[in-house]
Amino acid sequence: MKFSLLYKDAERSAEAGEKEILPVSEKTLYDLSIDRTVKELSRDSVGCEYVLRVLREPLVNAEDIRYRQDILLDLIRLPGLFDELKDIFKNYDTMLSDWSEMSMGVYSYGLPMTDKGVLDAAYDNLRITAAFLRRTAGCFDAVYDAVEKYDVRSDGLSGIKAFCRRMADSRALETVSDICSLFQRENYSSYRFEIAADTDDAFMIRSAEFTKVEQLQAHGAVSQVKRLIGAMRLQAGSAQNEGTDLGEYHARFSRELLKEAMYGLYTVMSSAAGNLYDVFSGISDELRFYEAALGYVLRLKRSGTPMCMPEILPPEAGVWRAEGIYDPRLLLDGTGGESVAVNDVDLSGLCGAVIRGENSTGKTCALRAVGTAQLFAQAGLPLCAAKAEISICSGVFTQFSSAEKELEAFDRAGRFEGEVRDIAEIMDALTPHSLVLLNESFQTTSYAEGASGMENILEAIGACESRFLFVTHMPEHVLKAPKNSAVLYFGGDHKITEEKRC
Amino acid sequence: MKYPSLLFTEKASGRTVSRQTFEDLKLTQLLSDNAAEAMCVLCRREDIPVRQELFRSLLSSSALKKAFAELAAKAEDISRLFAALKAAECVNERNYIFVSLYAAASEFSRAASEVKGAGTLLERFASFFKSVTEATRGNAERAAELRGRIREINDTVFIAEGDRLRIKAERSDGLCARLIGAARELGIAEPKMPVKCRMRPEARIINAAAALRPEDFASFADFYDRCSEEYDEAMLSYGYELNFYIEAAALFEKAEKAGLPLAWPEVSEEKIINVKGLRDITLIAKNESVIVPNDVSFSGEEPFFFLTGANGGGKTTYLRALGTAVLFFLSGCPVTADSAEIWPFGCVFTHFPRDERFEGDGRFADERRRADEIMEAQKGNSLVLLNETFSTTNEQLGAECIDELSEKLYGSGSFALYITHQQCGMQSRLPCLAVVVDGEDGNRRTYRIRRALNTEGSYAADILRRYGLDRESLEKRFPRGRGRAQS
Repeated sequence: MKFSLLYKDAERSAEAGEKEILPVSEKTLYDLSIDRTVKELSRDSVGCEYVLRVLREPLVNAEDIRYRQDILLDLIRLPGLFDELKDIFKNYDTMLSDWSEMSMGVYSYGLPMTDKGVLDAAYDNLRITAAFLRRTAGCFDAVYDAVEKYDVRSDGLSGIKAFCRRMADSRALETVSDICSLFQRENYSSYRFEIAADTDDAFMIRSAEFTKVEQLQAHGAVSQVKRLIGAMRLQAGSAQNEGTDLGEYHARFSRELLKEAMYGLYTVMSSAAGNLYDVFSGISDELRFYEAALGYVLRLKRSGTPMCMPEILPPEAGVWRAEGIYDPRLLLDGTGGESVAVNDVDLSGLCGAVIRGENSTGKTCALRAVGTAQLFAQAGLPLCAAKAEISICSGVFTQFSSAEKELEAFDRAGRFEGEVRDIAEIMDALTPHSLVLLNESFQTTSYAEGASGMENILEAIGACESRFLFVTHMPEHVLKAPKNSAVLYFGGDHKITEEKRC
Repeated sequence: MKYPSLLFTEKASGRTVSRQTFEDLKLTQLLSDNAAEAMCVLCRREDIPVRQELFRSLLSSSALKKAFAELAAKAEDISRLFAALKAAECVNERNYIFVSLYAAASEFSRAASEVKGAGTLLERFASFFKSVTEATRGNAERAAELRGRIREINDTVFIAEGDRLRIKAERSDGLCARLIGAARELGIAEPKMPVKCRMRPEARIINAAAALRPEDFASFADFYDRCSEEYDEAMLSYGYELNFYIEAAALFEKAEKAGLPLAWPEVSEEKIINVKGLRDITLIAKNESVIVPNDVSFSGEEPFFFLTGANGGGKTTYLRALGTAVLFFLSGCPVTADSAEIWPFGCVFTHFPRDERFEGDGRFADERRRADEIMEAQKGNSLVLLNETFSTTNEQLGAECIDELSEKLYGSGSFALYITHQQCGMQSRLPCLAVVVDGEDGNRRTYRIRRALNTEGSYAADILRRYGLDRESLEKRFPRGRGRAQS
């Protein structure tokens, strides 16, 4: 059992990127300036890196996207819930780091050299792990108390609430706590242990397991009562039998046996602790994503520009429609909300669009707006648009002609070959329903050569049932837009002035 | 009692291949130390087809493979129990272990008697154990019964309190089991089980445990007194023999799965090596998807070849393929080729470059010493594989040494393959092989070995074509579909 606020199937989150989720390259996030956007919205570099990692793994299932959208809507609607969750799960993380630190402290003076030292270390490990497991088991109450106060509607948060309720009422969890409570004394010599040793067919002891653990001395009235209740529960049904006395001549064997039993229980206990802890592990990190998302929503709200949760459609629908779309970079770069130019873009049913216009007419902004919208939509985030219907893409690829200063060291042939190599990599990875964003590609060779090569590539993208957006200065008589595509012309006010279907 | 071997009809040939040869040929990456050790001991000429018979049965019958695996596991059990018996420190311990050992040996005998498969070695093995099983039936049944009791009494409870230790027979549920049960009930992943320990109790502890169950231990003692003469440690060698067959069979199955053909080489009456479509089996350890076949032909008239050509062209692979094929043939195994006919050589020698093996005299001296040792040991009936031998000295001295060594080998009666980059006089007199390079495809290595050199070629290519972005390549990869423009 594992919960995630990012993935409906939390188990899958661990294997993200393997099958269903097609990773987006860091270069694509860089080309679309998403890395800068996220950096500005994140609290710190760790949060920024986490959010970028999530964006690099777009969801490809509408249900998964809606799962995130609903959680974000809950967090927007219920002020205070995010902060409570953040506090709880931060403490949850601290528990694990405390355990790791204390476990390491057992060997702070190096590995023990004597039998007694080894046994002391085994007991310390057991005691520390028992405390961690007990604390972990107690966390479900705390999470339930926090979420219970709010009217959560999303599947993700409601699921956590119901699960914590069930756990808090569970007798099995009580058993776990009882067993852990047995090992609170500083020293193992305060106990009487019964150990079952299993021998194999060669009379070799192959396992040693505690069957009964009793404290020999009381520390106080309360703990005495607790111990008594614990011992009664654990001993229920077993008859008292003190066995044959072997005397005091087996200290070494006795220590060896105890050590095996302690390490055995420690192994099971630490594994159980890890598995129980795993139920909510990672949520603290996942909240970093929502923290950035809430910051993004706040920025958009403050600027007064349109914002919407997109309607997500399956890839086969081939829909890409957004009203009033704009590039979030414009807002974050300081353009006031009223000055941001918005456009309506409809690429539904088309294999792509060639974007044309003079310099500084908003061509690249439009390209970024579309690419960012696609990735944000598949991350469950709201879009910078008034309304949007977007089909899921199986991959988002970019080839942006590099800035001149980065290319000074290369000759023309080298630059062209670099671009060809980039696009060849895209074509190798291309699957149906991908989105390919090309910015002034192949302008590093003659227009005739570049256009001829690019036409073939754009046609191939269409043939693969994918979609392209190609910003270019290549003259129209040289580069012809493929059939079933559009040409979008941008004018001086950063708006689409004309649209032509081919 | 003389247990029949699964490796030899009578005895081994007395010839062994050095461990270093296995390392040079990278066979140690494919086989465990024990299996390699079994292969090092070459069998006699007449045992090659006999072992081939057994391998054929093993590769074609999953029931036999399963039976071998079970027998190997039982043999391992017997080895473990035999070692424990030898180390027993008290009578109670000895008797207890002896019951287990006898029961394990009886189970081995019974399973061995039921093995079904064609061939001299297998039939002899099964028939022998059939008679053993018959002869020991009564004691085997008693051992099985006593072993059942051992399983029932295999837990003892110790009570540790300060320095005192007590022992008792009864037990209740352990804390680990209760934790695991709770985890299961909670629906979380099941916790990891503790690793099995190995603690040998002292004799006093064993005696105390025995005192808790006096009747059982009296039965064990009685059984030991009656049957202790019946067990023979010669049975232990079966683990080694079975594991050789199991590992080799698994390797050839893997080779077949990787698409390599298996051929059963004929034992040639003439001194020849004639292999068609030989593949280097060691490449499957590197998960190579394409393994290029080559033909190999050595004869009395042409017992020696130089092999030269571009780096990375497959020279060492060819040499390794040849070496491993001959070694597998001499061990009665199939070879990864289309067909093969091979003379049963006395031995296989390899001379590969070494970095840190020379002692004092330097690397070249080490090479010379090793070459001299091979010349002395090859006895005119071996396969000698030389890889860049004498490349560690200056060109002139290297060429002289190569000439001298190749001339000696050529006239020795042994077969040899000599990989070298150096030019020497003998290369004009002795046959040469070379790697084939595709000149029309940017000097692409084809990994084919022929008697010809072809290294010319050109590098001209269009950038788009090179990256598969020309119209033709794109149309091939992305055939016309929805939304594609008309050309």
